[in-house]
Amino acid sequence: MLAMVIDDSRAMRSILRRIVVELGFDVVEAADGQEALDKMSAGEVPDLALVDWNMPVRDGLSFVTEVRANKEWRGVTLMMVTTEGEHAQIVRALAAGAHEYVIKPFTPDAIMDKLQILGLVGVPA
Amino acid sequence: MMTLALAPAELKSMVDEIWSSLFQPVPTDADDADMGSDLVVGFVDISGGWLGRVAVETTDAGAVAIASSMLAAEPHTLGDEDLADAIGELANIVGGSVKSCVEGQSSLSLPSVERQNVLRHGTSELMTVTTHWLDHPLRVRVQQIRVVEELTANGAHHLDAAS
Repeated sequence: MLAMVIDDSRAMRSILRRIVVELGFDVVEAADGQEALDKMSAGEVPDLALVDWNMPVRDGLSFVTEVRANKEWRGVTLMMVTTEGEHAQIVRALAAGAHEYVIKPFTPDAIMDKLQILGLVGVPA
Repeated sequence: MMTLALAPAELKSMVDEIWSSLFQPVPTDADDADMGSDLVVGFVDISGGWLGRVAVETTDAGAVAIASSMLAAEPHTLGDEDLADAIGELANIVGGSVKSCVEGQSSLSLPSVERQNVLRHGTSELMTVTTHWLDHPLRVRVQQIRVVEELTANGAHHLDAAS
C-alpha cells in the first residue's frame, strides 16, 4: 500500500515516513496540499494520505476538500496530522471528509492505533 | 478579551510530553540556560481573541541535536535549512499546544526561525520554561502581545502594540 505524507516540515515528514514504513507502507512525500494534488493528478494516488493542516500554498483542509470532490479519489483514506487541536477544527476536518484526526505531538503507537481503526494495518495477535 | 488558561507548570508538562513523543530523554529542569551568542529561535504567533508569541530557544549545537533526531540524520550532514525546519516544526508543535489553551477561536502562524531574540516590542513575558536536553540549553517562552487603542494626534484611532 502507498502512503502520501503531506507536511511542509521535512523533519515531520521524516518522522511520519519512518512510522508508516515500519508498518509496511511505501511512501511518497509532498511539501504542501498543492504538490500532493499535483502528484495525485500525475498518477501517484495513495491508499492513505497523512495531512498537515497549516501549510503554505494549499493547506490541509483545502486538500481534503479537493480530494473528496474527485470521485476517482474516493478510495483515498485521509488522516489529518496537525497541531490544530480545537474541537471545532476537528469537526471541520471530519465534515470536509477526513477519516481520522491525530494531534501533534503523537507517538508511533497513536498513528498505528488510528490505522488499525481504519483497517489499514492489522491488529497484532 | 480572551485569555490564555495556562500555568507555568502546565507549560513544563507540555514540553515534557512533546519531548517524550518525539525525542528521548525528556529535558531536565535548569535554573538558567545560557545560550551565549549561539542562539537559534523558532517561533509562532497566535492571533485571534488572544495575541501572543511562543518561542523555542536553543543553541546551534542544540538545534543540530534536535534536527539530527527528527530527521534521523548524522549531525555532519545537516545544513542551516535542516536546523530551521526542525526548530520551526518544534515551535509549531509547542505553539499548537499553547493555542489549545486559548479560550475561543484563534489561529497559528506558520513558524519562523531566527538567530536572535524575537521578543517583540509591545510584548510581555508570561512564562518561561528553562531546561537542558542532552546538555544543550533549551528554553520555551510564552509572550503576550498587548493591543491597546490609542488616540492619535489628529483624533483618529489606531491599534498599536504596547506592553
